[in-house]
Amino acid sequence: MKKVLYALLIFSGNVISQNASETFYSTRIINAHSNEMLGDKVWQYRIEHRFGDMLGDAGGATAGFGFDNAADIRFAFEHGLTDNITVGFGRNKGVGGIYPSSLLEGLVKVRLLHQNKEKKIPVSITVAQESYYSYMKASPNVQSIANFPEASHRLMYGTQMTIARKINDRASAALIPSYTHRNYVLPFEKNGLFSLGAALNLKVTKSFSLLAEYFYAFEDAEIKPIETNSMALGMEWNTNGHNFRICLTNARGFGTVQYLAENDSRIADGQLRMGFSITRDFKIRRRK
Amino acid sequence: MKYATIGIIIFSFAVIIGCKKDKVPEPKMEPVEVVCTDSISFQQKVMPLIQNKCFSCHANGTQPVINDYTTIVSQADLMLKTMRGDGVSLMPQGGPALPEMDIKDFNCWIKQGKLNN
Repeated sequence: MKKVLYALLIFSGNVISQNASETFYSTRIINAHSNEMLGDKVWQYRIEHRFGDMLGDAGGATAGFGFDNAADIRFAFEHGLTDNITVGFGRNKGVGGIYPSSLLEGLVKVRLLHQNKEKKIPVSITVAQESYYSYMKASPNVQSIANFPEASHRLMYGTQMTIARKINDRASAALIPSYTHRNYVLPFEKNGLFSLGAALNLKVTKSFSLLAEYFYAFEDAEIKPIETNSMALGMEWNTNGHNFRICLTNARGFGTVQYLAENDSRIADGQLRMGFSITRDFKIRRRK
Repeated sequence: MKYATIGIIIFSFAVIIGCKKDKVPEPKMEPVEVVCTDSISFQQKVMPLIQNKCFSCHANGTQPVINDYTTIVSQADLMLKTMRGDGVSLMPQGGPALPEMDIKDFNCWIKQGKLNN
């Protein structure tokens, strides 16, 4: 009888899980959004960190190869309103330098398509919309981007569509068209920037995978040199409710705007850094 | 689900109406009368000056990129303003300003047509 029940359970599981699962282990690939969503009523707490330059002028042994400095730090809460809608709120340090720091971040992410062999849907598609508000003290220098003559100049936006496919149990890939908009930019910059990203996930074991991600920015090389395009390699461990990822990247910030439009780090100059992300999922159930 | 949909519509609306396309204003500068008597050589005067004072940052990632004749020509007017700190941040960053003689040479090179001579 037990065997029959197990068989029924396995069979019903197969029927229910026709949608491709675990295309990626987490809702982020490395910097970019993956096609994964938080489940219905699931809360997720995220702590993410990018260290300073490993090499170059700001790195080297005297800076602990970047471990003595913080390029960016994010704390965020995200919540699955349904299986197909996730909202989030976060706080980033921001890339700093000439760009605004101290960012509040809002996120709405929606799943439009879910890869399904039975229904012949070949890919999963999600759209993530991020908005940022810089609460830093305005600079008195009118030539500074952080001068913020109007309150709306503190706002920035990032939109990212993730088109992902689970190729087999070992490999997944994604194409990630992205658009960022900053309300206030330097004279030589443009407000809008379109980028196209590509990402790969190779599962080595059931809970460990390798990740790679690259973004090409469609922008004049004089405004944004090609070497400053965001690229990242990572390793990810997934356990029940926890996800831990370490990465090596030239990107300084976490938000779509920060690592796509405001990143000026070049690997050739030693401006690459270690980073990590830790997430914890939990469900809050109401008392009946 | 109904509340989620309403929330997302409000969020999307706020994003759309919040969008602006503003830029930091270009620095304004009063014209300075400079009398140029000698021809200024790019290779002998301008390039060594920029190499010494600007390349350490602007040829290594800091925007705008300044690393050769073409990039110097495209940024020359802004560079002159930053050398004087006239309405813009003074460069080299943190000062001191370049010697007045060097600024004058750079200004004359611009006036003489930014030649690659």
